Amino acid sequence: MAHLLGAFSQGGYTRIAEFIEKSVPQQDRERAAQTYIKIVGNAAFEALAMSRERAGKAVPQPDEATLQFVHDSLNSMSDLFFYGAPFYLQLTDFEQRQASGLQLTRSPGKNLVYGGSLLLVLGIFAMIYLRERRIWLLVKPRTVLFAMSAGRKNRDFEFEFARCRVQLQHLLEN
Amino acid sequence: MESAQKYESPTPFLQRLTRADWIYTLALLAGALFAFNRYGVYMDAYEQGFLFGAVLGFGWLGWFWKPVRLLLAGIALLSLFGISQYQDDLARGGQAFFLKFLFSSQSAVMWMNVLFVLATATYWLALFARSDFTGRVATALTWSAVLMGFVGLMVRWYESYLIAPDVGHIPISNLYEVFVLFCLITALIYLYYEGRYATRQLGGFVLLVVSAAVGFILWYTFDRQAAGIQPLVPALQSYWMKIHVPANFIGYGAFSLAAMVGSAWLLAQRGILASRLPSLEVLDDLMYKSIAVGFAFFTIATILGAMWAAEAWGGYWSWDPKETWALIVWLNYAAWLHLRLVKGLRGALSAWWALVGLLVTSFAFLGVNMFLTGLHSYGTL
Repeated sequence: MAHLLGAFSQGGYTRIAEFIEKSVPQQDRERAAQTYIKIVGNAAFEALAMSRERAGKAVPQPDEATLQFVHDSLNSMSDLFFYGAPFYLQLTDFEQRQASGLQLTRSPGKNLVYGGSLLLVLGIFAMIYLRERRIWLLVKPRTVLFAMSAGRKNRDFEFEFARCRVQLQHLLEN
Repeated sequence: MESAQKYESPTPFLQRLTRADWIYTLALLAGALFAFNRYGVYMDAYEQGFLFGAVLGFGWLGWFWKPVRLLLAGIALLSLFGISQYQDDLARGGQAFFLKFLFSSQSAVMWMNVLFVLATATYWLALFARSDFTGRVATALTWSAVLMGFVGLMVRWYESYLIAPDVGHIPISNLYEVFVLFCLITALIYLYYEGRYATRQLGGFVLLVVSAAVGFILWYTFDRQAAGIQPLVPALQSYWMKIHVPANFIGYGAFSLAAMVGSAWLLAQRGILASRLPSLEVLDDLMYKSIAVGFAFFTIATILGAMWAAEAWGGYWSWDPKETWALIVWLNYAAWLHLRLVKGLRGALSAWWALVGLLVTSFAFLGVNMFLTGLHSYGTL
């Protein structure tokens, strides 16, 4: 019987069921299970009676309400193993305290941040949309050599070169 | 191509503006003045700044990119018509004919979805059939999708105020709404480059991303019933949202476009569809321009985000997952641009990099919301 209670305290009804499956033949299992549950129940009732007596309180009678209490307690103790923790915390009392949390911020560098952000945006637009270009003209008698250079090569540059060439030609012809 | 160019005498910018440009600008200004006259007393200084800033911004945009004038006029007319149909009663969204089938926000967004999917298919058809006419149809479909999407967002903005005045907010606050915004901005950036480079062959590629986003919107609408308008959490009730989120999505949209152009580059380089696609040079240039625009706006968005964070959370940068991933995206494209501008990076590596960049970007955009939690958990899946 100590073995049985030990099994319950280590793994609840699940452990007892494993024990039964391992050591009791198939046809006797149901009977064994009922017996074991009854034994655990009785032991728990005795434990309850003893602890009440020790605490100097009224000893419970084995009436329906008490038995139901013992039954439910055992069930929850058994299920506690699924919870995975050796103890269970429960809120017994709650008193609401009113409180306000105030958060203050001070940013003395605010204007620097604004200025820096503005510069960042201006810088990005300048990086993308301001392109450095140079025009080279080599003027000789009756010929003008036209060249263009840019820091970055892209398609717009080709168009611009073509446009400048046409405009230069127009300028020279008139 | 060089010799084919004709001489054009250089004209100053203002002289190149046509009468339509001025009518457009005056209409914008008149609209703003009307709004100011009627609602000015309810606006604070920022909102008044936004109102007239919008006139300047959209005026410039319309001068710079002409089709925007027509788009804005269409959005204004259809949205005002949709709003007028409500007659201050939200329930009419499911009853009045025009609202139920066309202009209530969810119907309009559905139209946008359908038109985007149709446009994608048509672009691919045009690519394979080498048909210019089909290509023009696809472009028209895309413009219509953009129109319906923006009308949907505008009407949704109004609907949110019909629910209750303090629920009202700009419709870029949850995942459903920003996905619509993503589709619209990606398509708009694409349409700009389509006009600029006079090439329709890339539409099928770019609209694949948009169609994927449409698929997400549909799943999100039907499976999660996420299309409803929810009140804003207090942290989002700020004018910063109106600029932080769109700036971010210009970045996301441009990066997606670059990735799809990168995939087209990789295909063309291997000879697949090479005769139908623009030359590798054009693709490369487009990829660069798109990433450059995206990077600039992503920087602005991140800075604005930091300013907003300083105001709302007390610090510029809290290493929230969204912030960390925004930094990763930013560094990724900063490295790409740096290598290109300084070391002249071209070719397969830059195309692969742009394509992989889409993964990084979409993780920052979606993955962070799905897998990580943090201060930016507004649109969880």
